[in-house]
Amino acid sequence: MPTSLASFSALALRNMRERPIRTMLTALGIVLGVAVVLAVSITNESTLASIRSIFDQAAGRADLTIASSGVIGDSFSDGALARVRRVPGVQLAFPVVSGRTLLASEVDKWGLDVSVGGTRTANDLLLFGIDPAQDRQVRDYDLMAGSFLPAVLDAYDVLLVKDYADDKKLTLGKDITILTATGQEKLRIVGLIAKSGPGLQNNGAVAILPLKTAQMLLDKSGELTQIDVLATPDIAMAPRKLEALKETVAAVLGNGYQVLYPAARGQIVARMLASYQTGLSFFSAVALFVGAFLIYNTFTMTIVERTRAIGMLRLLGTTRGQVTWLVLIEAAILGIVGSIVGVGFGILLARGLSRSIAAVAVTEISALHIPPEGLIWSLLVGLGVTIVSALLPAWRARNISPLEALRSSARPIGAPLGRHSWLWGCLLILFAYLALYRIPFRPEVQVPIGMVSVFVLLLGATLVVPVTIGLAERILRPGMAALYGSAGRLGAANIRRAWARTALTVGTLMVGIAMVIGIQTMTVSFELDITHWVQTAIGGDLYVRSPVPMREELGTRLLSDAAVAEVSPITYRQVQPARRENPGTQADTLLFVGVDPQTYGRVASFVFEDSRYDTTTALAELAQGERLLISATVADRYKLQVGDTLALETRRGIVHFQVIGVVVDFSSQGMVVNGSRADLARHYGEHTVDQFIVNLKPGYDPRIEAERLEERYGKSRHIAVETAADFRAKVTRLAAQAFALFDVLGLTGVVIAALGVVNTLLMNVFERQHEIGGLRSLGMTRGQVARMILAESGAMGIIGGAFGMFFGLFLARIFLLGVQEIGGYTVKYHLPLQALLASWAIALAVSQLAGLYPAWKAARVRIVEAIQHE
Amino acid sequence: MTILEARQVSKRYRMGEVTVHALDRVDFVVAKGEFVAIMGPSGSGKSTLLHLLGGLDNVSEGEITLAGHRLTQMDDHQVTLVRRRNVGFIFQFFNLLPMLTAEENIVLPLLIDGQNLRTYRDRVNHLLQLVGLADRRHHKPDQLSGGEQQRVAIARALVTNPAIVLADEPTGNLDSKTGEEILRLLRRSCDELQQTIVMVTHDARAASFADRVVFLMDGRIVGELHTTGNQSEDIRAIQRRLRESEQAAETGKP
Ligand SMILES: Nc1ncnc2c1ncn2[C@@H]1O[C@H](COP(=O)(O)OP(=O)(O)OP(=O)(O)O)[C@@H](O)[C@H]1O
Ligand SMILES: [Mg+2]
Repeated sequence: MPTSLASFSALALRNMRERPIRTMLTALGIVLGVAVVLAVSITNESTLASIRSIFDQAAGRADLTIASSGVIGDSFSDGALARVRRVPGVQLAFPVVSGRTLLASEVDKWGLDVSVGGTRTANDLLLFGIDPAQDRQVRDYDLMAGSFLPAVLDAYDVLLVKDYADDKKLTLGKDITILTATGQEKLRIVGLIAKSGPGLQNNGAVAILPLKTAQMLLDKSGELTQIDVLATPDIAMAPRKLEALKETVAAVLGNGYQVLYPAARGQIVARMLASYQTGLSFFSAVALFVGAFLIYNTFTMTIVERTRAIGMLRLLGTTRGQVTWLVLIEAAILGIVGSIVGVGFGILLARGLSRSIAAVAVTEISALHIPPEGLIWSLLVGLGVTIVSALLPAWRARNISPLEALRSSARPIGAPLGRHSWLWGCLLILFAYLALYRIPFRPEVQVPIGMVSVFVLLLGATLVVPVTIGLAERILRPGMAALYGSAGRLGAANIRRAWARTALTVGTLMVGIAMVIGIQTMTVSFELDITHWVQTAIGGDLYVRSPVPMREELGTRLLSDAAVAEVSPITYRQVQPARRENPGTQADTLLFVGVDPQTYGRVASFVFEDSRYDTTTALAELAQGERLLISATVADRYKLQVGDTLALETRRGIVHFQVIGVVVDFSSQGMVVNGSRADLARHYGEHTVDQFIVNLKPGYDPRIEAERLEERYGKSRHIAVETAADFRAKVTRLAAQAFALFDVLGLTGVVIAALGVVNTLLMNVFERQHEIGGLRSLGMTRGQVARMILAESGAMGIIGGAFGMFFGLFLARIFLLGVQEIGGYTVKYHLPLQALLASWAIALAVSQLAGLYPAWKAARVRIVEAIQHE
Repeated sequence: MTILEARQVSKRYRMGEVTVHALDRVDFVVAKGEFVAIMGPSGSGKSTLLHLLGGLDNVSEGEITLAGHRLTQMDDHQVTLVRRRNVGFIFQFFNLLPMLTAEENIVLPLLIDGQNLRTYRDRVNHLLQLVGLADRRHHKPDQLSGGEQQRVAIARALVTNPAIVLADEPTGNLDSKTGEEILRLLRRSCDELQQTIVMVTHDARAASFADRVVFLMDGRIVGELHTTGNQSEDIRAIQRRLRESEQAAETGKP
């Protein structure tokens, strides 16, 4: 009987039309929830893209690089390319063939550079063969003159770095002649690029040319030297998934190949993006849960308000099923309308957000990409969440007795689980507490459990709130009386009467405040940690880096420079924990940071988890060999403590390293161990240097010295010098930018909570019209009525704020857990006292602002009308 | 023909330690087309009996059969369906949905039952005519007087052509003149539509509109009286019986 149902269901519409403001406020809650979820997911992509580009400029965009397992530069069959492209999760794979040659004009100047590059020639030219049609998707070519290579694989065209061309007096449109295996060949210079991105290679002495041509010239037909892989975005942003993809690709290719993380990307900061992104998704999920809770609250309140009407319907023969249906219909209508408007609003919000992010990031965010499945998804989520949240209230409604319609005064609706619901509440809170702190769930399920805990916790809290209201009100009453006069006393007393509703309002506020505190604590903790780490661990004044491995000897040269006070070499090496001894961690790669114990302490420090340790002692111990300082993340993952040993695979089999300390480290997604360079040399045969940290003598400006040093050594030694200040600023800026979005989320929580408060107070006023009319007839002035309502909402604000503070700390813990579990970082918990107090003030302010309209409404209650209708 | 039958019906309310015997083994039968009034002092269990008869609450003991349905053996859903089609309620407070117009309130039971409203158009018009609200059909409850609201409630109770109308002090909230109009209306629906009616009241004048008056006292039926049709005589007789039963109760107590 669809038509009859429709007409009965029309009652739901009528309900909503009758209370337009309440309906609007509820819908607005849904709108905001959906908008935030959508906006975050849209900007997420764009933001990440723009932040990535900062790093990509130097390192290229590839997520993985495939090379021959022999000496880097050895070639392999290009059949590997097709095999790699077939691996699920690989979005694009880019072939590269490279090799060294000479300009024909420079043959006579050829000589060996023994001091730095080993047996390499000093004036060679790197031929870098690419697929011109595709390669710009993985590398940024900053074209300064001419045009890019035509999209064919066998043209005799070439791109040169402008500096190099100027140096060698080569001009655009002219030919260059190079030495090949079979003689000499001519190539046409079609474009000049900047010395950045791929132009940085070989210190600018690089010729970019089509793949086939390069293969021919290098006598490597059908061969490649490198494949760069772009993973699909979901994998690229999830370090664990990327690691899994790396393993899969390695397995598919088999022996003879190695799959690596592109060198520069494996290092510091790049991985921060991953946890940032997952963090955001986590928060949108939490926001959704919170939204669900608020919608649940609103619906419960509308049920409370309509108890008599529903009893009446039951009396007239409405079945329990029909009552449920009515509530769910209302939810569905609100859900659909709210979600649709929410999507529109979300797109606007995304636009605003990305604009502000772009301003911070100083990069352009390419046009917003709005994924259609994202749209549909948020519509479904909005609708689904609304309906699910309405289930419990619908169940309550279905249990309303027809006799409810006959009571002379509306009886306050019982707590959902009977008189002892506060006990249930305590149980739920206990459960959430245990799930969060005590029960060691497997890491994969920890995050979902954390999210469910949020919901359970909030539900438990709402059940506990009612028993505390009596006490809280008694404490608050004198204050309210002082603020609002005798009407204030009455208002405060009111919150005890409709305690079910009060509990829900307080719960709503609590959720909003808890969100703010949770997010604040999380961001403050994270920012403090990062800042501290940035200031301490990223020491020194300058960093000297090179695309090619450097020799220690360069350090001595640098030290002899008049401006340089200290130099400390660092070597990075990806290492693997011994598989047999660390089951379950097969896929892990750790970044072994080899420091020089003699000099490191003079340019930087370690940040210890336990403040009793200090860098000097730790370095002295590292110098003894086979000792490690592990990151908190590694300690967590491998369940290691100081004194334990960590077994690593080395060239000479498994070696046991003793753990001598746990340090905070955000580089390489926290999967970091610090040891001595001597160990790297002994066990891995790694003698080269990846980076020199340089301290300048007092009075020298790092910026000027950086330029000078690069000028002096850059040409011959292919080095780049960056100031530590620039680097630190980059990291800090990234962090700040990351957290700006979180603040938006927190703010939304508060706005939704405010809407909830307006909603409840309005319902209070509607339901109590009769009573308010009575009070007015007894001589209460309009001002007094308004003050009464404000006192009521003020009392709720204070109680809600107090609860919010308490549970916000729980929520913070869940957020930190989320960051840790998904992002891999172990973040120390910092109690944000300021945030606590500020949010309490917010709760109070919100309650007063939200109380204004209902107070005005109450003051305007018409006495006669109010007392005429029972 | 019996349309409603209560056998040995008891209702107890437990209030912590104390048990209130609201009804104590009540036997009560109503024939089709009959207009019965239930009288008794406050707290004697009149409303409780009415609620049980209409399936709004569960008996503690006993059997209730309504229009051939054993209410006491049915679950809530079945009772609801029986109530929907067989019972019309009228209460002291008019219990209209504030957001619906008079006409919409009247057809609400049909809506709930999933009926096609179009086939009921004539019936609704007739009822509006009967209760004299044809020109007020689009008014909302707060735009109607108390008497008008109660007339809407009566039309709503009659719209499903129920086996029985249960009215709990339908005139209790109205002045005597308006109350009289309502009672005439009920009488007319009994006479013209053969509508069976059970009405709770403690007003002898209201009770005199019924065919039969049943007296309730401390949850027990203590007497019965058939009206003669002479209203003033009936009223005096009813008042006498009320006094007698009250005195009996006084002396019966220790
Ligand atoms: N829900 C309840 N819980 C406990 N006791 C109840 C409840 N409902 C009724 N009672 C008690 O049952 C007895 C009968 O109540 P009932 O409402 O039937 O009286 P009544 O005859 O309708 O009185 P009145 O003329 O005042 O309406 C009273 O003593 C009343 O206190
Ligand atoms: Mg009664």
